[in-house]
Amino acid sequence: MAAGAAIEGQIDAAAPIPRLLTNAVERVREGLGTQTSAIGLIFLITITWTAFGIAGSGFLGSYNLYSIGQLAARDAVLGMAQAMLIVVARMNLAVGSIGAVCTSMLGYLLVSAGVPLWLAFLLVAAVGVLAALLMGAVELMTGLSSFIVTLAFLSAYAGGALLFTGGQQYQINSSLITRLGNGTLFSSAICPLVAVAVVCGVVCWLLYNRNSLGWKMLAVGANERAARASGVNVSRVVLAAYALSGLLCAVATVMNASYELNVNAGFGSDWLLPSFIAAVLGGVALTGGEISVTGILLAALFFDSLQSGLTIINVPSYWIELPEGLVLLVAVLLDRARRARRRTMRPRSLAGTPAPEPDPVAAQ
Amino acid sequence: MNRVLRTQWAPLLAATIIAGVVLSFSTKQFGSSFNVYTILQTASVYAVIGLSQMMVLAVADMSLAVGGIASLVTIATGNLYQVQHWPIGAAIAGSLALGLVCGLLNGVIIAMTKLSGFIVTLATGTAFTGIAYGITSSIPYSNIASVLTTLGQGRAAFFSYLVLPAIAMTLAVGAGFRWLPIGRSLLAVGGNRDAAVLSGLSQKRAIVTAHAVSGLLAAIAAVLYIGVLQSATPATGSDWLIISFAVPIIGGTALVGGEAPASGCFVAAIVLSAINDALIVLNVNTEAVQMAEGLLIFAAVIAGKLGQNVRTGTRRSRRPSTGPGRLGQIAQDSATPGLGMP
Amino acid sequence: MQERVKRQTRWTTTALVLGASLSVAALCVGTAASASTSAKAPTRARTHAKVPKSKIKIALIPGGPNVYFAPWAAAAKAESKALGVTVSYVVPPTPTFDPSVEISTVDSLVAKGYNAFAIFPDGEASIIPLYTRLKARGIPVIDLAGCTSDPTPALLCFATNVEASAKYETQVLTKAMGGKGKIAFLTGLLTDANTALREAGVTQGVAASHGKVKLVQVVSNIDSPSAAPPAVESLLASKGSQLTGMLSTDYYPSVAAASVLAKNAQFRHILFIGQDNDPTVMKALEKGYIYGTMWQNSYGQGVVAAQWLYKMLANGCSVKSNAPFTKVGKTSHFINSGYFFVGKKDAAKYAKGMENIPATTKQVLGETSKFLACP
Repeated sequence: MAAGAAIEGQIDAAAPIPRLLTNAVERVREGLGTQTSAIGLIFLITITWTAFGIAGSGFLGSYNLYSIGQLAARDAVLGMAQAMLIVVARMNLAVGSIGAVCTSMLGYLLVSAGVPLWLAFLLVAAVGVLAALLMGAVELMTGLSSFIVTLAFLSAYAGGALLFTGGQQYQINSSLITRLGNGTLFSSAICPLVAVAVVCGVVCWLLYNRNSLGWKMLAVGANERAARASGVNVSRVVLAAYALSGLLCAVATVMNASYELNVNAGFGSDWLLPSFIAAVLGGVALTGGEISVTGILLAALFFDSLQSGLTIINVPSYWIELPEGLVLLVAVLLDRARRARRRTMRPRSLAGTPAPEPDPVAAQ
Repeated sequence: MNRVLRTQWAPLLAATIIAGVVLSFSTKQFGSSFNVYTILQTASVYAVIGLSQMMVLAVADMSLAVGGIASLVTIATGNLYQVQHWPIGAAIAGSLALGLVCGLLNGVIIAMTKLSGFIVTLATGTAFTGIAYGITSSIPYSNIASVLTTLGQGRAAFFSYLVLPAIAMTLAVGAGFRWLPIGRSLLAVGGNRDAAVLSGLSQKRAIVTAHAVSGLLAAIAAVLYIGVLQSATPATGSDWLIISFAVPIIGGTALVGGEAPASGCFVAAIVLSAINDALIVLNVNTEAVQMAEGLLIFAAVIAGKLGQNVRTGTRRSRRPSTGPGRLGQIAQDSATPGLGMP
Repeated sequence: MQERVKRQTRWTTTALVLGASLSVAALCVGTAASASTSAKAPTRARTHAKVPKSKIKIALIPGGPNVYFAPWAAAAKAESKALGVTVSYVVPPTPTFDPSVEISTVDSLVAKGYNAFAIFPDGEASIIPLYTRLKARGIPVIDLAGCTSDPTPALLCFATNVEASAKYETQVLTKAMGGKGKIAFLTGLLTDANTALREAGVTQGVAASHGKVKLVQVVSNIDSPSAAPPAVESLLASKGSQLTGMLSTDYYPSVAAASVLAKNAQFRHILFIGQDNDPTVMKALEKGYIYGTMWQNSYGQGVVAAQWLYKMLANGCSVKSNAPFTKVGKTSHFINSGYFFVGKKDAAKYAKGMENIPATTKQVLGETSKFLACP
């Protein structure tokens, strides 16, 4: 695509650049409209729930569904935090470390400083956004890849949080937070955190479908050069993506704290994997320019159901990680097969796929 | 001499040597032969881990399964030697073959599906670790052959025996990329997939080869490490992920593929190992160690980047090797000529 | 093109509706099923009614896959046979001891019908909300090998008194050093509550020497196979000549130190006391390369937990409010599962076999009536 565009650009310098952007956005819109990864996931969830429901007693009990929802809600928000940067063809390896920073802040503000809840939430959100913005600024200033920048900040932030708290534990006693993570909503099978995840999902969906910033993010992810050439302020869009990722990390921090109620700087050390699993299984292409918010929500639900189900059907201890890995692999392969089929149905390749394009010069 | 000075890692090496000399004057133990041995021993394993990741970075892919393969290979060596009573040579050969097969499997899946290596190896890495824990129930094998212990912990003054296999691997990988046709085609495919495919190079073959060799190198690192810990535990490899990326990246491997400075890996491994060592030797507040490590990695990357700028200043720039944060085949974008800015 | 997109959108809607209705159906079934069980639960919680043997399902939950917990598997098997009920050892799939994975594992087991738990808590309070949910369902929970902090719904905490163990370890080392010298301390994760207790124990042990023993360096966060060996070597390289003693309260630093001392005679003037029974440690001890190692009662923890949980369910026993608990760290309902110094002369005797202190186990089981009130 890009190679073709470049040759085209030499022939007619003015016209094709906006068209390129429109094309990119249009392709992305098609990807959003079809939501096929969501269909695949609904199918997978239905199969696994049926299988686990039959094979293992109690899987579909409200108690277990509550527990799955509690964890899946957090993982879905982590997936969105990761997706914010994947969409602009970047990565955030420091989701967990930003989580550690936010956690330390939350614990300090609520327990040591005795700040009112609303102010603590506001400050934690600000800290998350600032921590992520700093990484974004460093990336833009140094021109290093986001992978390297966030990798370096991963250690620095986790260490900083440890240094700040000195390994202290903070016991959160707010009844609102307790109810958020351990109360019920509508039914005894639904944790209020699920609603938080859904709200985050709706906001993200609106961002990408009804907001020009979302469109610009998709365009930057699909083809950064084209986006820049057509007048998108790439730096600003990238910084916005970092800020949103940081904000979602802060939300995930509060969610995690609300069901564990006791926080320390060790928080977040295990967030990287769930964040990628939710995003990638959910159909967010690692090459950027594509997102499926429904997919992320469903993927988190699917993966956490799987973990619970494997315990229930008596997979011997120590062997659970193997089927987890295999199912992840199969799910990704199925998703790939589906995409490949979709591509053959459609003449134009999707954003970021390596399929060679017909040369427009030759076509003339 | 001139060529050495122009390499990307030259400033990094210079800074490390200067810092090392200063440190050994201020704290005399830093320059002691046992401490240098300690740094070299750890660096040797880091270097091989880094080479394993560099193989796949060279074709603009990445592997999160380096640690998973290491975990599986570690317990395979332990099991074959202690439980199946294979002679140690056969046990090592068998485990290395297993590592190769694991890497091959990654490569084949990635080449067939055109999926990003990131997600495929995330899944297979989890599965490999899962097998290792499943087989052992997390109990380590402790009957370690003396040849591995000697290799892992033996030394002549400051010279750790592990440096020998590490240098051998570095030279082999470096030579492979420079002189072997397959090595060159790996770099060609990594540098610009579409152009390489058009010129008749098989992208699939390149990806499969890169992952297979990466698996083998991860296996070698695992076998070398068994002797260091004197215990074959499935927990080996659990925290190799950051090392595996930090080493080649600090050593100057770009994430966009097409570059594979093997010697840079070795230098970066020494830098990282020396940083870890210095933090303990200087008795840095334990709570600050992790943070200092992150900041120092960052400083090292910036130093490498400066080195690169110096280099590109003296030599004609091949291409902007740091596309802003793009991975995989996106590299083709930054390699595209033309399209002037409005 | 437009047509196809529309058709696909319709497809999506159908699938979404289908999925949603299936989920709702599942929820209804699930809620109905749980309603019937929760109706029974409160009565059990109040009166500790006896549970028939066939319904008793006890689970021992470690923090994650780790060699320390391995004897629990054997204990679960043995007790399952001896008691004639299900006793399972279920490992949460998290090598990093992530509390959220542990919580979801326990939740799945509850859903499956397990009705008594002994849990190593991943995080001293992160798991308390789970305990509260279990308590609400009338399920007895005890802390095993690590404690949750007060106030906790856990009925009791049966674990190694890590603070006392570390203090004792330091005192043994001090005595072996002739009452004076410089020591270094190797330990694990800073965010682990046990690390703080261990450090406190070592500090107390050092303080008892009235300034004659100096703690010159603490190296923490090295309880992993790749972090421990380089850290121990770096420490020896810099402080090796001035140290007279070194101690570790964690697994991998002990293995690494034993392995380095076995290879490097020039550091054997340093007396080292390690932790647990990795064969590398035991071998080094037999050869006299290290001074000793501290054992815990891993197997006994599993045995006592299984037997007491069984008594609570089968006989309707409850934990006495006036039981002779001790207060350790942040918990006031602590029972010591024992610790034990193994020196060179005992090394051969203990080299094979599990980490186990049968005498302590026997003593604790003999005192059952002090802790449990049975109808």
